[in-house]
Amino acid sequence: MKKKGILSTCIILAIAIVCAAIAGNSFYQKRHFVEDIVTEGTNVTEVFKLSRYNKNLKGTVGDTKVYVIKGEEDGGSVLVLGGTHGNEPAGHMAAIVMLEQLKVTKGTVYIIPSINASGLTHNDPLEGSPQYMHFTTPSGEQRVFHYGSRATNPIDQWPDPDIYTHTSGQSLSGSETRNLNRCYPGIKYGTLSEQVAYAVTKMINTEKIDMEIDLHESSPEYAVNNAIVAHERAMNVAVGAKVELEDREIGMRLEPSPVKLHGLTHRELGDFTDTYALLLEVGNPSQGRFRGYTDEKLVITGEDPCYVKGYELGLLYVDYSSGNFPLSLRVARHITTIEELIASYNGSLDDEDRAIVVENWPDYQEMVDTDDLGLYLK
Amino acid sequence: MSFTTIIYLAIAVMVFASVLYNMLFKETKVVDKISCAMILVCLILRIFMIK
Repeated sequence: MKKKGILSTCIILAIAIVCAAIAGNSFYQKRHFVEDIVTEGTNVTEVFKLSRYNKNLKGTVGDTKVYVIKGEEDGGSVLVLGGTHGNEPAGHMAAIVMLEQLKVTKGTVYIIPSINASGLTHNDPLEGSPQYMHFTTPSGEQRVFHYGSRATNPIDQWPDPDIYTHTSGQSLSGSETRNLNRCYPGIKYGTLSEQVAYAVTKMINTEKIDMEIDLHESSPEYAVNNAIVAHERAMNVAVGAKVELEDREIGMRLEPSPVKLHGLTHRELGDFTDTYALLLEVGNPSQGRFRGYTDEKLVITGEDPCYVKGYELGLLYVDYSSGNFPLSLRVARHITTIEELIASYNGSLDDEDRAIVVENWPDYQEMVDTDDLGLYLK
Repeated sequence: MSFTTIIYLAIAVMVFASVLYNMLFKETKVVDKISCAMILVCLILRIFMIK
């Protein structure tokens, strides 16, 4: 090798090493970042790991925390799942706000804010997504939360098959094997996603949980948006909640869970357990294909000129007339819908022993008006 | 670590070594050396199971 060649090779190699170190450090920090979820000074009565319902999860990133807020009086129970898809942050943040704010006087509220914890440890390639979201609490402290991926991290679960065959026989593209919301009711010794799904199903059956609510977001141009998706057994509860939400001028569509679409919470948890299985969707501009520049600001403010144009052209399923769809609004919609679902569930009971009474609900209008999610964090 | 992962990592290490060898001793054009370097960055992140 000539002297000039050696020099250029060394320079290029050095640059490559620097690039690998910078990128590697960023990915490594993201993968090992632990969110500081506050339980001190809250009404959380117990925290345990999901491996209680599937021992195979022990020691894996899938062994996520379950937060329990139990009332003094026995009653019914509800399970709230946030973070199924890490790139749908309203569900993750709504679950965190709820566990830090709510007080239960009757019954039990189970909250899992990071049900696919692996999905929160990375981002989808080529999406330009931010890695984190930052909020300032009323005390001035900055709190940081993950913005993740739709799918389980391939470091934790790989290789993807060419075709993912669900236990029902349904075929999907191979990458859907890492989509937790295609893996229910789960398999005890299956892939990490299937093991997590199995644990949730087992938990609902073991604890006899009356209602399960899975929190999601979807692109504003996607039809199932600002919606409650309900299993047929949960339809009455969902209708009652929808009516009350309409009274409060919070428009929510009602979508029946497709009978032949398998692997989703609203289908499988309704079929394989006795719970009322529900899923909520709100519009997330940082997730849609129409979006422009993607950063943390877009995630939090939901402001995107491309969506303004899309709205003018009549291509959206959300009211984007204000030119934004902020995270505080999306979280408020989730929390208020859960509040109304619990009220509707209570109203549907013949036996009041199974009622769930929850206090300290953040006020919807206040959350929307203040437009600062940090105010609702400890 | 599963057996499949070990096989995968062994393949990744071999490809890494091969690309590095080509970069050091075979490629003469600077552009080709830069291409090799870009491949090495991805491979090293995979070998260390970072991304």
